[in-house]
Amino acid sequence: MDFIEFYQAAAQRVVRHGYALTGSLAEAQDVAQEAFARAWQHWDSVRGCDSPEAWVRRVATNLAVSQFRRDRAARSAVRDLVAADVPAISPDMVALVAALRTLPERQRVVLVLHYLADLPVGQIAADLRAPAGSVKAWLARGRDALAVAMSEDGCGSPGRPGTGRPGRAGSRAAGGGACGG
Amino acid sequence: VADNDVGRLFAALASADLPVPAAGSVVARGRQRRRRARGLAALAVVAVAAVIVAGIVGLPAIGRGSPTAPGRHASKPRHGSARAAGMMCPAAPDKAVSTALGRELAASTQHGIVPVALSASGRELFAVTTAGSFHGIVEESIRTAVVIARIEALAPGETAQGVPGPGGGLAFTVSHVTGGGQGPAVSTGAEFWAPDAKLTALEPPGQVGGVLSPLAVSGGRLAAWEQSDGKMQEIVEANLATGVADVISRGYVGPPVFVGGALVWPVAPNAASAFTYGRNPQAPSHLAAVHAATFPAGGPIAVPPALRAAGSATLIASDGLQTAYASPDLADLYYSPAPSQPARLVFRLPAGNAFTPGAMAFGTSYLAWQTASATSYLVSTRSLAVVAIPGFSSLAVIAADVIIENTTGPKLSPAIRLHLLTGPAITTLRCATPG
Repeated sequence: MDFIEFYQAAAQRVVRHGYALTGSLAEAQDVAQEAFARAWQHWDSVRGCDSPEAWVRRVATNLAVSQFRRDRAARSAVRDLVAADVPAISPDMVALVAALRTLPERQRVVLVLHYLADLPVGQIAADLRAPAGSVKAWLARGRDALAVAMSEDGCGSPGRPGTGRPGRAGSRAAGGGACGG
Repeated sequence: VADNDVGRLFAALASADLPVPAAGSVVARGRQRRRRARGLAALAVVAVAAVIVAGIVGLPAIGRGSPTAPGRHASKPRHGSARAAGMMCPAAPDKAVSTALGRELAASTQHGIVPVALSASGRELFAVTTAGSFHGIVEESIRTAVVIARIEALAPGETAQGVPGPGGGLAFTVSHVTGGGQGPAVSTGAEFWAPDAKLTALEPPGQVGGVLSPLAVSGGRLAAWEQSDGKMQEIVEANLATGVADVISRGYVGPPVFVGGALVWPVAPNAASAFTYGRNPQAPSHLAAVHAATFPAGGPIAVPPALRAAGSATLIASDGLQTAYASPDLADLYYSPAPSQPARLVFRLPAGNAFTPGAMAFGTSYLAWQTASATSYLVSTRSLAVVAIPGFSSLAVIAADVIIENTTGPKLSPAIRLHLLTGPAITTLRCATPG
C-alpha cells in the first residue's frame, strides 16, 4: 500500500481520535501529523503490520496523552474556542470532548478507543497492557462519569480547561455545584 | 444525559469532517525525522568507535558491560507447517454451544454490573454493582439474577477482581485508581469471603504496597499473589481459613500459580527486565518454586516438569493438576496434563493475535482463554477440540462453568450481555476431523 493512499484513508480518523483525547483541534492535528510522520519514517515495516492504522493510532494515543499531561496546566480557553469555531465541530461535540477532558486519563483513553476507534475490550487490554477486568472497570466508570459531566451543563465546557480532574465520581459531583448549570 | 446521547455524540464525532494536515507536510516531517535519526546514528557510530579506540589504547571506557543475554525463547517461524500430532483441533459444530450463545443470562437485564467471578458450583455470579442503592461486591443467582448476599461495599471509583475460592467463596482484591485519577489502578489488599458471610482480610505483616497480580487459589484453601512492598515485588501466600499470610519471596518476581504441591512464579534478573503485568517478552527470566501443599510454605524445590521448559513465560494457568502457559510473545500455547509431565506445544494463535494477559484459566476438563481480538477460545482437555467464539470476552469469570460476554452488540446499553457455557458442554466437544 502506498503511504499517501494510506494517509488519505486514515488521516481523518486519527485526527478525530486526537481531538477526542486532547480536546484541541490544533493539538490533534499536530499529534496526527507526528504519528503519521513516524509511520512514514518506518513505512517499510509499518505497512507490513496487520493494521498500519492501529499502529498510527497507538502512537497518536501516546503522544496525545503525554501532550495532554504537559499542557494541562497551560491549556488556554482561546485555543479551544478556535476549535469550536470550526464548522464541522458542533457545540455538542465540543461539549463531549470538554467532558472527556474532565475524566482521568485511563478512562478517557479507554472510552475513546472503545467508542471512537471501535476496539473490543480484549484489544484495548492488549494495547494498554492492562487486565481486561480493569479495562471494563475504566469503561464502566468512564461512561458513568461522562454522563455526569455531560449532564452538568457548562461544567465540562472549554471555559474550565485542565481543572477539576478528580479521580473520584463524588468529587466530580461536588465540583458540579459551582457551575450552576 | 443518557448513554444514548453519549453514543450519538461519539457517532457524530466519528463522522465529523475535521481539517487534516496536508500529506506533503506529513512526509516533510517524516523526512526531517529520518535526517535527525541518521545524524544520531552517525554520532553513535563515532561514539562506539571512540570507545573501541579507548579500549585498544588502554583507556577506561565508559558504559561497557556484558551484552544482554538472549531470551530462551528465540522467535520462531509462525505457521506454515502442517498441524503436528497432539495439537488442538477445531471442534465440530456443537448444539450445546450454539444454544448457549443464543440464550442470555438473567443477569443480562441488569444495569451497572461488572462480573467478577463465577462460584465454584457454577450457580452463582460474583459481580460489582454500581446501580441502585448499593455500590459494592454482591453474590447473585445465575438463574434469577436475585442478589443472594452483599459481600462488601465499595467507595466511589473502586472496583474488584477475584477468583472463586473453596466452599463457594470468593477471593478478591479491591482496587482504586491512584494519582488523583491519573495513575494506574492499584489493589490495596486481598480478602476472602465465605458464604457463611465471613469476610477475612489476607494481610501479611508489614504490607504497604498493592497487589499486582490476579490471586491464585489452591484446593488446599491457600491463596497466593504478587504484591509490592513499595520498593520491591513480593510473593505472598495466605491461609484462606485464618487470614494469616506470609511473604515467601522478594525480588523481581511475577504472578504466582499453584501447580500440584508447588507454588511457582517467574523471576526476572534485574529491575530493567522486571515484569509488566503478565507480559514482558523481552525479560529474560526463570521460574522459581517452593513446596506449598500446606501453610506455611516450605523451602525451595525444583520447578515441576510441566513448567521446566517455560523459560520466561508469565501467563501461566493451572488447576493444580493440569498446566498451560503461553510463550513469552503470547502467541503459542503449551499444555501438560499433570505436574510430572513436560508441557508440549498444542496450539498457535493466528498470526497477529495474542493471548490477553491474565485471561486464561482451567475449568473441569476444559481450558478457556481470551485473545486481544476479543475472541474467546474454549478447549476440551479430553479431546483437545477447540472452539473459537469471536466477539465474546470476559473469561475472568470461570470455574465449573464459564460465562462469556457478548461484545458484538450495541455498546451503549448499560447492561452486559452474558451467556453461560456449562463445563460438560465444553468437555464433550469433538474434533471436526478426528485424528
